[in-house]
Amino acid sequence: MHDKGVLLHAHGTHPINYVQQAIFCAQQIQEHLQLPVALVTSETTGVKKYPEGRHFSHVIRVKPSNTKQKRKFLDGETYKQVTWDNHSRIDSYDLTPFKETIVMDTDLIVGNSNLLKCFDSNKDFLINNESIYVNAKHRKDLRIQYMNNFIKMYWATCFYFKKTKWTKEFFELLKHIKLNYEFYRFAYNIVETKYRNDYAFTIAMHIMNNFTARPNDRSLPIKLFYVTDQDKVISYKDFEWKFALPKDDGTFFRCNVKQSNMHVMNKFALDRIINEHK
Amino acid sequence: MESKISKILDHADKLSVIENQKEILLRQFEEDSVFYFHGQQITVTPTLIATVKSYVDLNRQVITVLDDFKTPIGVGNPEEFLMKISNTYQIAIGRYETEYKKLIKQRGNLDA
Repeated sequence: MHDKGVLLHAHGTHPINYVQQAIFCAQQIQEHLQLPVALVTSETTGVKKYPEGRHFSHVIRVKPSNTKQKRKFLDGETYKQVTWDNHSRIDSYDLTPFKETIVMDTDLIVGNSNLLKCFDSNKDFLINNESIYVNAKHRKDLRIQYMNNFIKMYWATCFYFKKTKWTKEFFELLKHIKLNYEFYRFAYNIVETKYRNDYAFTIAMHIMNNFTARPNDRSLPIKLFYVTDQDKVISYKDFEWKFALPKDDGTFFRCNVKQSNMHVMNKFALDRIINEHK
Repeated sequence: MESKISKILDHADKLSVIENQKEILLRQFEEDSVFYFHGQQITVTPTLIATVKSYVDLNRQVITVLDDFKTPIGVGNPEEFLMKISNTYQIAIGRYETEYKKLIKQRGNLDA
């Protein structure tokens, strides 16, 4: 068993190729963190294209979830529906081949080595309950802080854990929440009907904190920057993102972010960037 | 008169773009200032450096500081600790300065 590594989950190849995203994500991880990367996937088509050893230290096959859950993402001027399969993340504890694991979305692109500091922490679980929207000054409507009106959101985009009694219980709780999601959605006054890992993690943290929304003392040693599908991704070169961000009046302004971990929620734009890097 | 107002608004618009970019650099600087000591997370600040320096000057052999979550940490070698936090802070602020200089070169000074 490797001591430390990164676990990625990728399900679905059309219209967004999450496995391709995972390969790009793994390349950036190897560039900045030099850690082995394990892929959890339910993909059966073209699996030979993703052998262990080439991009990933481990390829862990899981059953497809048969989810019908879809989510709309903006691609340029039009919205496109995408199957949104995020079922296996809560099984990370059981699936990881590592003693200490960083789990991240395939659209979180690592831009520096600061995540390595996780391994210096004496905490068994680290997660952020703050994220930084790079266009927050102009589009406050796209800035997400709270799950409902009173509990700050924990972001399942990236988290770190080592196997302990606490984390085992935490992941058991996540499974329970997912299984009984309708109840918890109602209990926590969540308007969105789709199952979302961020909500499940937030609820689990709230319960593990004895039903209190106390300040997070388990934050990751990174800031979680993000752009949404409303923001245009111009390029990614030499670890520098160039964006065109919208203002209230419909015009755009340029923004560059260099050597930072960036959650690119504009999935279609990220797909195009990845194709340019092939 | 209208063109004057228009210029003022354009300038204000330009400043807000620079301000946004500066805010991102500031957050990157905060991230780079994070340091772990005996497993506890500390975001290094000038206040922490000054506090530890004052204890070193007083020749204290063991000191206690607070981490980011207000948990105390015992420090057995304050001089070595001071070197580590000073280095972390200077690397972080040095990067901030470099990137800020690039920003004002490309887009103009916030204070100009």
